[in-house]
Amino acid sequence: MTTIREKKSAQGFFLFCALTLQEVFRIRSNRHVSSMVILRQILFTGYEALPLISFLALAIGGLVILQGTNLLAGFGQGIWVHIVLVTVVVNELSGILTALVVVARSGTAISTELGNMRVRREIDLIESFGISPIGYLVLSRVIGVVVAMVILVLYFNFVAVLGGWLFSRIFNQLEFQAFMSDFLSVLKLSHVLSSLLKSISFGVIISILSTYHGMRVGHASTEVPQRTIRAVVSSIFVVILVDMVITWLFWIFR
Amino acid sequence: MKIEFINVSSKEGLRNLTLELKLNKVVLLRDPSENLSRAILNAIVGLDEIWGGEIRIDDTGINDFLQKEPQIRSFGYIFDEGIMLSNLSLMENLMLPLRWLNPFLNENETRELIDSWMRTFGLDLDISQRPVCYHAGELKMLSFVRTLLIAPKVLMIDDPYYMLNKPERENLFRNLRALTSSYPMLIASLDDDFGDGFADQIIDLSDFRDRFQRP
Repeated sequence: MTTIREKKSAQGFFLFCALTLQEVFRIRSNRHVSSMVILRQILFTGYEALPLISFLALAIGGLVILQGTNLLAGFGQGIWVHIVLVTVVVNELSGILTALVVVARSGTAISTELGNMRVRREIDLIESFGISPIGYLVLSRVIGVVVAMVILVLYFNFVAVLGGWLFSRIFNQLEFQAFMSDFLSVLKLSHVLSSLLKSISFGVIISILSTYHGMRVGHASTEVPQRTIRAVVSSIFVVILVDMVITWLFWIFR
Repeated sequence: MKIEFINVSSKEGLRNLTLELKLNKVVLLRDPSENLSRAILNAIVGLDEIWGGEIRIDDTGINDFLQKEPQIRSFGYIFDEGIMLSNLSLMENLMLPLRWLNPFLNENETRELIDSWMRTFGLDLDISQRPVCYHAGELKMLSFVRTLLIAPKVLMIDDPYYMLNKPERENLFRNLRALTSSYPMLIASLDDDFGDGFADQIIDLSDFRDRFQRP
């Protein structure tokens, strides 16, 4: 019984993904009604998350430099602390931490909003107009979250490097030019590509899973928090899994 | 317009329903349970998943019929709860179906028409506000305005009096009576006002009780 239910659920999810993909090719036909939804999503997911991302990035960048300097200086390798910054922050932490912030803020908001729209029959209303709810509600949120996610990850990297320099300046009196010169000498194109690929993938994963669970709510308001929890748990699980796969692929083809 | 249900079964609970609706004037669906009438309206506008049988409109399959022109031009569905999208302002709610039909439509062009319909329905609302600022009856009346802005071929109204107070009911009844000359209507209601003297055809769905099974 459990197997059948799981299979049905998996089939439903892949059908949902296929319908969303189908709507990507029809985006021109409904962009006039969904462009405002996309802009609002970028504003909510991206712009409104900037203070939290700034704080996290500044602290993480600084702490990595501080801990790295302490650790590597013991071996007389303090100069290589920038490698730690590139490897840990640009390659891994920027994507993962930004994804966690986006899951906590936007993933939950999307799932709850769509779930409540289902309960209040607002999605039925959209369908009664002949407008595809996937094109109008889902695709616009997917695009909004992906765009915001890419911007946030780039911003995280930028602020984290700034935080790293700030701590280097405080504790090691390192000049900005010298810090950036060291940093850029270890930063490779593959690091930037990996970070970019992760941000796009995480954006797609979070938005698709959140919208899917939101749209799956039936007619009972009690289903909304249950579906939101599932959206959060599955998003975190899949984001970590995909992060490992992308890192592994870049490691193989390095 | 002729709508035929031929042995239709659906996810929402229709079971081998065969029914013919001639929507030249006002047709009233009188359903004591209110489930079957709602399921019929939902099936026509594609809110239900048809499992078996066929719905035909003017001797054409419903999917082929709706491909000829936008669904919203054919059927203006007014929900019993007069639903508005809560994340949009009232103006955006009114403009959404219009923009769907005409992407280049200017708000100012329709403002006069919106104000005129709002006056007709006795509404004095600040439409830059969100729906949460107004009570259910006002939003329900506004949902009539939203539908009439589109000028669909048929008005489909689920329980017109639901959520309205007495003055709003009287106002709505007066307006619907005036609209009968310009719009064919399919109304699902148990209220006597919409019976004899208002509807041209009354279909008593209690005869079809076994054609609905709660999903």
